[in-house]
Amino acid sequence: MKRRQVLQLLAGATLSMSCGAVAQTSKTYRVGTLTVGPPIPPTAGTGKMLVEGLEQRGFKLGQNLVYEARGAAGKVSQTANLMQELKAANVDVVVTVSYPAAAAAKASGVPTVIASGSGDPVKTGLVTSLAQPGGNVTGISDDAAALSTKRLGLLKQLSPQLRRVAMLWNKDDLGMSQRYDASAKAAQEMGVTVLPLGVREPDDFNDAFTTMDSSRPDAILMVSDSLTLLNRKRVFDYAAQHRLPAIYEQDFVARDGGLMSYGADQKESFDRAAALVTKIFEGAKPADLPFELPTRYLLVVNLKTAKATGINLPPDFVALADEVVE
Amino acid sequence: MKADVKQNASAATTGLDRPDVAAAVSGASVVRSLLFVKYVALLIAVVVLALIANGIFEVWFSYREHKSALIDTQRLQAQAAADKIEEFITQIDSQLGWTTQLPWTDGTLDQRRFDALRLLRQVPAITELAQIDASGHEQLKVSRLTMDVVGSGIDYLDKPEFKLAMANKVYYGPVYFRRESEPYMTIALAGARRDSGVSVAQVNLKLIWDVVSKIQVGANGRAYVVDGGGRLIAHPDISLVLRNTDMSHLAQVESARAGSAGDPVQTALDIAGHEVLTAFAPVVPLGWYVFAETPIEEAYAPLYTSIQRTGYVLLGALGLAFIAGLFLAGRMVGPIQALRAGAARIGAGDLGQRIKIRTGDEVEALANQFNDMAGKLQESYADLEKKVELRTHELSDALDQQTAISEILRVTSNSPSDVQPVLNSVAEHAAHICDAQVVEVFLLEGKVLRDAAWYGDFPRLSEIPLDRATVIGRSIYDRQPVHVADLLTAGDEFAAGREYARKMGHRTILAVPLVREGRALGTITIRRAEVRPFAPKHIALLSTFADQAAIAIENVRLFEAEQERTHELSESLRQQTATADVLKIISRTTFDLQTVLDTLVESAARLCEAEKASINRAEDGGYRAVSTYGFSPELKQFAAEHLIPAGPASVTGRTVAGGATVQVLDVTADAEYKTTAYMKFGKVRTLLGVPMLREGMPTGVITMMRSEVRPFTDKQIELAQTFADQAVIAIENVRLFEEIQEKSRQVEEASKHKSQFLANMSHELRTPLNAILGYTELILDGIYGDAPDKMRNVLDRVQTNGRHLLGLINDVLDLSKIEAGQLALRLSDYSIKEMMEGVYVAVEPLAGNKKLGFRLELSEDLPTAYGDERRLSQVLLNLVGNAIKFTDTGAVTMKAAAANGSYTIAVNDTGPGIAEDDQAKIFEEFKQSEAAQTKAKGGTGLGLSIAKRIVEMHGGRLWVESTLGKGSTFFFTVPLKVESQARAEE
Repeated sequence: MKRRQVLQLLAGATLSMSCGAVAQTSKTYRVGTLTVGPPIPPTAGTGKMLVEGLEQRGFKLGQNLVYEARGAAGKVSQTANLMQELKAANVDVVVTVSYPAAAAAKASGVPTVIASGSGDPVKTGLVTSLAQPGGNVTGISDDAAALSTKRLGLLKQLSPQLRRVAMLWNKDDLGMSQRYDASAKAAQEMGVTVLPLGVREPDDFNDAFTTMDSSRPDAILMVSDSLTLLNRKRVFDYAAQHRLPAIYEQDFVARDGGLMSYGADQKESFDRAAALVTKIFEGAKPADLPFELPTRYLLVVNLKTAKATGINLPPDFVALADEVVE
Repeated sequence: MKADVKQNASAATTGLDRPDVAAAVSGASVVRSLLFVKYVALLIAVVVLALIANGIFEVWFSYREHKSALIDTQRLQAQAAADKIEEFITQIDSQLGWTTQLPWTDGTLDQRRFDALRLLRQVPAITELAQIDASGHEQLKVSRLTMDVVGSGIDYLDKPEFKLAMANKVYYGPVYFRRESEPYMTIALAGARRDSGVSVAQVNLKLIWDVVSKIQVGANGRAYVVDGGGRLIAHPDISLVLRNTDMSHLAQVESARAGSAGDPVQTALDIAGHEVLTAFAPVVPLGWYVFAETPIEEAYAPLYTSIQRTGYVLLGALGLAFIAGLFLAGRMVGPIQALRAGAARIGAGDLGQRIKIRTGDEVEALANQFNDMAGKLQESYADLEKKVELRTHELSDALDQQTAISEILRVTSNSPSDVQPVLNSVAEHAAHICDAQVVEVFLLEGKVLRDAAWYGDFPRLSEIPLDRATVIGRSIYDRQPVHVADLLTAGDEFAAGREYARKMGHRTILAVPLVREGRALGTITIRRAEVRPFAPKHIALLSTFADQAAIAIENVRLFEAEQERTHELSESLRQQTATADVLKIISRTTFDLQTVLDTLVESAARLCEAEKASINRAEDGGYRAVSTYGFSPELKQFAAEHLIPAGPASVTGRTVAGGATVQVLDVTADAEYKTTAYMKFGKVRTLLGVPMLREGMPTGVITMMRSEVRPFTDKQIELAQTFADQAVIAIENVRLFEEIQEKSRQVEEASKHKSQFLANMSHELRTPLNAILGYTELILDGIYGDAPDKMRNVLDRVQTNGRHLLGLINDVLDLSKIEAGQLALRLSDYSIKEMMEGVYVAVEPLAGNKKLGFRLELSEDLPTAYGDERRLSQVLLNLVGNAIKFTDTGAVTMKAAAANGSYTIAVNDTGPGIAEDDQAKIFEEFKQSEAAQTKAKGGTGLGLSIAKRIVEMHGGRLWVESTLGKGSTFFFTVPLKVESQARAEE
């Protein structure tokens, strides 16, 4: 018995010498993030989720990991230049949020992981198949187009008399346009009219609000992208002012003052993105890494906003929420 | 101990050579180290073998233990994972159970919807939940991704999730992939009550991955899940799953699916083809399997360590064994070494050597015995030496004799043709070895013994008569050695010998005869001046010498006989070679008579050893020398100017007159011989005349002359006659050849004259005929006024026959031109196609008149050709004209095709055909087919002959293929590029 232990000890020693984990090597890995919104900091929000995910997998910021964040702050046309900056900074992988960022990253040839907000990559033409992406792009595909109908359903559940919904989306973002199309189609099936409010720049919001003033909707559905997110407070204010129920995509929007949100669990999405980044660090090619779909979708309800705007949320509805902000 | 031996050895040095001893000792050190090395190696080998055997056992068992430990761990891990998966599914089952408790009544829909949504919240793995009522229609569907659907009524009756759930309470669907990406499974659960319907959940199995990914198998192993169909459901590498990988072909999966029968596979290849240790556990309710695998290298790891460790131990043991070996071997080898060194010195001859070993064991006893042996050896050595000396002396005597014998043999073999050196050598050696004052060799010649060789200081006898009363004579008569110890006291038996002894002063004598095949050839005698008899060995030796001398004499005789025969043979060969040479020249130069005759006379003269020779042929008033040998220029001049007289005045005349060979031994002694003028130019004594006979009649004579009186032998005369016959044949050959040449020249001349005549005649005939035809035509055209019908008929016939005659003349003209060699081809580039089309246009009316089909078939790619286009057109016109002429119904076809540098034209008709016998004839001049209708069609019978020659002048070929009654095809092939005019075949 003793001899076996000794043998195992010896075997273990040999093995531990042979299997050097990636994280133990001296190489420094560089991850970049690219968004059309403001740069994603590594210390908060989705950036933090990504960095934590990487840390769990052996890449520690300040030790063997360098984090480069670039954001166009709403100026979509800047995206390509920012991507070139990242490439010049020699990043191993770029993690993107939004379709324009993904498209710019794809064009640069740098291995790319889409974390969220880029629609169906097959439909937008970023890849040919989810199972076999085939290019330099992989990541998380959101089913957001279908989800928009779920969001409509939630609005309808909240106010059964729903007849007209105002939809706000960034007309310049192909991923967003897809969502609009899917939602408009679902709305028609439900007998609900859609008030299309496509925006391209911050100033367009005023026009959108004017349109809503003239033909008043029963609810607002905001399709999230950096443009709309940057101007979310204005939408919150307008909804509150006109006592309109509104639904958003990301959980943090509801926490931030939106009435409610329904969408993929960001934490999960960025954790999966971190897993994909790790694989690319370890030498895998994005072409061989299938896209993944989110598993968890969170319904977040902000009771504070509801109270403030005087919208009555039935208890059954609240009971179904994954998170209630009070 | 070694030091002991050395001291001892140097102290006991004897008179023997030191280098020998030194060499023996150095040889010893090599042997010593061998033994030493053997002992050391043996010790090391024993230790190492034991260690290696132990190492192998240890390595093997540790590998086995480690492997089974790994497999056990893996099985446990797989089981744990299977349990977790089962728990995951069971949990979903129980959660689903809540949704199937309410019966389907209208009021329950809201409640159900709420329950369903709550379920989604509680169980993240369920993405979609549908509720089916008892009649199989969907009443409610809630989803995380899309809007809720109420009362869609979708029919589930035939779907397995409904049917099987109703039957079995619970249904687990196959794994499927949403959007080719996410693994999903359908779980359906029927309520406890019949009317509570079925809940169908779409379950995301990605969560199972978490379970699987977290399993750490060994250091580099992994766990994965495979469904009942062998498809990969979960794997740490999600990509593999998403690619819908089929694992069913892996041995371990196959074995697991096959059930519990037999031992599960423990080592197999994984999906990447690496060898792995594998264990599995089933997930019972789902029919899935969880596999845990580690690379086989992990199982091998202890193997390597063990090998390494065994290696270290081995190295250490090796060192120890080496040191122990050195020590032990030193102890063992030392005394043996001392013993061996001492023995070596004794062996090398150092008999005073004594070995000192004090080990008190067998080795010491052995050393003592060696010492005793050395002492005994030393004693017997002196005795031996004396004997050796005696024997050596005897041997040296024998050696001297052997040397002498071999010396004589050497001399014998060196001079096969001369016996003298042999005899000299015998004499000299006999004197030395037998210690005699004088040795003499006599050879018998009739009744006299002649002195042939001599050695010694006595006076020499040149010859003595054969006499029984001498010792020498007696040895010859008796053919055996005769030995007399003292001639002076020997009595009267050797009275003559005694006289010699007195005269020459010898006393003891030994005579040995040289005998060969029972005949005495001579004798060897050895003598001493004092009375001292020869020893028997001397007699024996001398007998040997005598035999050798006899053999030598016989050899020389045989050699000379052989020489004689060889000389005769080579002489005969020389004559035959000369004869053959002459024949060769005759056959080679049949037509150059002079060369033949010169060669003949020269060869004859040489072989017959004549100094001069000549061939003389009859001329008016005498004979002329037409070919000579050995004549000086003046004599040649004289012979050219003067004829040899006929009749008995010359040998030539006499030979002709007699018709037989004549030899005059000495012309100076011959009264009738009058041809003495020749003697001015050199002596002539013996003369030979050989007749050259054709059909018994002499046509000339070969004479041969010698300046001395020496008759020609029969052989030489025979040879000369052979040459005379050859000369006749050669002369005849030349005559016949010249005759034939003259005749053929005459024939050729005649033929040319004929052709020339024909050519001229045809031309002369054509001119007036043209006038006749011309005028007839003018009359018919009415130039000279209208002619009455009767006259017209006659004129038509005149014209027809005239044209036929003109054609005939033209043909004859062509043919004669060709034969006279006057027809030249005018070579130029031309188009085959155009040529054939030209002919087609020209002949088409003829075919039209006879209502015959007429076709021209040309292949597309006919190249430009080079030749006489006009003449080839003529050929084609003739062939096509003939075809139309002889064909009454059907069609005529012309075809052309080119290949391999030439082209072939075929003219095919459906006429009567040509009998096989006629096919060759039709190409001869003035010949037509024998068939009756040919006569009716007319024609000159020259056309084909001309056509054939024109084609041949182009270097081509014209031929016909025909079957009687079925038509004919005429072909001709012509090179595309005619380089120069070829001769038409005569």
